[in-house]
Amino acid sequence: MPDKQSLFDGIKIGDDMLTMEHITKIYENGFVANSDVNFNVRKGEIHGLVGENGAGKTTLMKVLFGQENPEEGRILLAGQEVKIANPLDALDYGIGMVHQHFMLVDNLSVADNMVLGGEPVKGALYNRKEARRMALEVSQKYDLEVDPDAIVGDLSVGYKQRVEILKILLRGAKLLLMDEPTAVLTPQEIKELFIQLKKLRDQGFSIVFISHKLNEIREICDRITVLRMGKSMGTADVKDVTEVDISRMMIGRDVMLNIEKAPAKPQDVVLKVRNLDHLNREGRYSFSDISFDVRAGEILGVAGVEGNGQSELSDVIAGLLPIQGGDVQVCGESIKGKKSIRQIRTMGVSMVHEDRMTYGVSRNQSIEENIMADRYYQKQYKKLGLLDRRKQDAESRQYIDDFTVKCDGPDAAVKTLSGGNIQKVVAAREFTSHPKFLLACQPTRGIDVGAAEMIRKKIVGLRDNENTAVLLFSADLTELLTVSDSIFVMYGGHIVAYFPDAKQVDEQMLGEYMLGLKKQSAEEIGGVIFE
Amino acid sequence: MSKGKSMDASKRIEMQFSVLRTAAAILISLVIAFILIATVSDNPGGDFVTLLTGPLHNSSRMTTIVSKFIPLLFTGTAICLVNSAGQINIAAEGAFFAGAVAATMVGIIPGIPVVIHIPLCVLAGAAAGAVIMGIPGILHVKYNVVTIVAALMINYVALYLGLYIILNPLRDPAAGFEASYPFAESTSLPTLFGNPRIHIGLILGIIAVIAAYLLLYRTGFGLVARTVGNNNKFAVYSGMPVGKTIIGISLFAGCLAGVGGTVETLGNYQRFMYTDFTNHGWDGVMLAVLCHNKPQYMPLAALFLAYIRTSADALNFSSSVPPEIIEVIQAVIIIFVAAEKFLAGWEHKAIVKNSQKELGTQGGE
Repeated sequence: MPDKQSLFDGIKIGDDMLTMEHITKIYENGFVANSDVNFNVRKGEIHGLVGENGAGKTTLMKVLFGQENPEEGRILLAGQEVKIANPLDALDYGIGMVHQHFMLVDNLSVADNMVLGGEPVKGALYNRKEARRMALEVSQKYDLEVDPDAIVGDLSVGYKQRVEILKILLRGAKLLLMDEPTAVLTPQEIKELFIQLKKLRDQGFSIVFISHKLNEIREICDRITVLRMGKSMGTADVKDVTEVDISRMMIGRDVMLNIEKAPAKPQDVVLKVRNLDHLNREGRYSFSDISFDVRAGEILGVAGVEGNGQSELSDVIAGLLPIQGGDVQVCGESIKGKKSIRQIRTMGVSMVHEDRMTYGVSRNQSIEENIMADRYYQKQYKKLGLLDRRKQDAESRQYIDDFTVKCDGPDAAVKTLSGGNIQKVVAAREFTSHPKFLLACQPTRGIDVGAAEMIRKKIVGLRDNENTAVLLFSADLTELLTVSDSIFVMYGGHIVAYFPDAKQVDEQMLGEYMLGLKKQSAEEIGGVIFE
Repeated sequence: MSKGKSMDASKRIEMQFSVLRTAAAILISLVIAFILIATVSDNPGGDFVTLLTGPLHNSSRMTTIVSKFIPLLFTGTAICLVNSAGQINIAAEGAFFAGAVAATMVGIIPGIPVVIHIPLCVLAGAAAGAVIMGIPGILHVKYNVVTIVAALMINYVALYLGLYIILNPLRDPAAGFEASYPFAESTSLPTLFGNPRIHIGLILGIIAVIAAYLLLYRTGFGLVARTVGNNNKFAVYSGMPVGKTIIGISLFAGCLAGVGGTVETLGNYQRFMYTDFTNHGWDGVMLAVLCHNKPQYMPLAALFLAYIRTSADALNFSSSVPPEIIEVIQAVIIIFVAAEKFLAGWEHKAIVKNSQKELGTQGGE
């Protein structure tokens, strides 16, 4: 066995650092996640690993990080074959992973978090002073500034990510795996992250950058490897390819990066929210004094950095959380009081929750049962008091066709589908009940470009064909700007900006309001109230 | 792309392994049983044969199988129902007992015609069972009490309240032992196949299984129940009546367990004679695990358990092997069958091989 620590010492910039050959990984349900994939990373490069969701990017990284055992294939580090049995092994070899969801302890300080797992000790006790010194040292060495004494829970998402990166640098990582690091960041934070990553690259680190956002890949990566349906579509220098080339490699056809959509023709107010407050369990306002209207035939987008009250706001509107102060009305009828979610839904409300696997589907049950979950009780689906299986089956098949769900049939369990197809099942339920009001929260989060495109088109279709009023929460600003007709921004639990015409806005402008750098006047914000 | 085909094949392999797993579990437990018998028996060969085929040696033992089979159908199905809704409601034990007590209370009343008296007993048993299994469900929905804790406690309420009723107002001082007054003539259950020990409870039990199956898989109520069991939050978000369904299915399961207690008591005894839990409810928990909570498999599972219980009796009768050995064998079988990852390594290899074979055939595309 080669010596783990010094494996990368001999190699120079541009030499092969990591080579993965003929990797094949098959999951328990027979799903071939990686099929004969070759992947290689040089020292001192940022290598984009690109592909739709379900293409096998994360699986490949899990194999590399020792979280999955491949059925076939081998891994070479600096030309020597190695076996990586578990993440600790991977860390010993100098491979570190920055997960999409940070592995940080909120109530500890930055320094405490950074040394976690390799804490310095003095006798039997934790040596806080030494931890602080180590944190400062690594921070200065790599020119990534952090305050070692700050409490992680108080930090912004971008700052936490920096702590996470420093944490694995401190553990001696030479090869950094970053799983969709920009998914949770604002445009400004992304810019900052890219500067940091480039600094690291110039100091000889190698970075694997997983993403499906083409503009970011163009901006930050030196080379890319594209995966499609578990297979490698090849590796290319970024300067030799265009975004259109990449997207074609990713999904095998050209995609519309823009949605064609006519200007909205808004009509009467459907959803009316007035002076809405919500106190969370800790007794802090998640949001307060929120008032806005959504009109029929209009898509109102909500922008905001995660954790500024949007999740709670959408849950209150959905009836999942009780109304504590203020009011929510659908077509003039309040949802306050004893209203069950069934009652809210029968008022003409459809809802897509941001947490797909918890609220969107029941993974062990069939596609058919998932589609029927909001309507099984209606007369048309019953026969002699029992469920009319034939009718349900026929309707489910129709929706599977309409929404191009890739599956074995309506009886297939939802858990056998990929993320994009699962979301299509959610859409097949929520978009087909002729909603007067659609609450869409992160409807395309983490799903492939093709599925996302379809879901966006269906939302616009609801607006045009059924005159549905849509409230769209999305962290994907490109989506928000292309799909919405008008947008408001939430910061610190308040509406800080309203833009009546989404076409007049760009990501940069939204970003300034999302970070709380700017705030509109009460009059401008009041523009979102029509009644 | 033949992804769909490979998934199908994977499902088939999973099914094959499910059967294989059960068969292997039984085989292993029999090997262990043989070793155990060999260590305590003077005639291991003969005793092992008795263990395997003893229940079939004479018609009396075959009748015993049926007799043991009937109550298991009720409690097993009851547990399947509540488990499907994600409720670890093990109060079937208490519900079975309460059903027997309530049936006794009605059954000792003289002078009621047969056609009314038996249905009245069944109704009383069902109602008592519904109360016992319903309480944990209601407490869970209304006050978020952990169901298994409430169920465990309510079992003791049912047991001791029942014993109090039997041993005080209903105790027959003339019986000479702790028992109730004798049941009225009009409560003796109609028998089947001309066999005095096989009563109408068999038909009621099969009806219970079919009703539970239809309820779970063919009604909206059952869809909600299973959705609650699989993903409660999803059920809430879809607008399903979660609380009502949990309470409803607990009540219905309690009815079944209560009727089980009723027919078991009226069908086999002249008066109420239990002095402790009958263990039918605990057996039901075990059977529900064997069936993966699917009522349609309950007759098979209950028959299996009734069979090895009868084997135990036969062994006990004809050899020096203590009946405890049978308990050990049962436990081993349940452990192996319930272990989902048992043979998982082989299963995965089979799936991988199949997927690779299909990848190979795809190569020419």
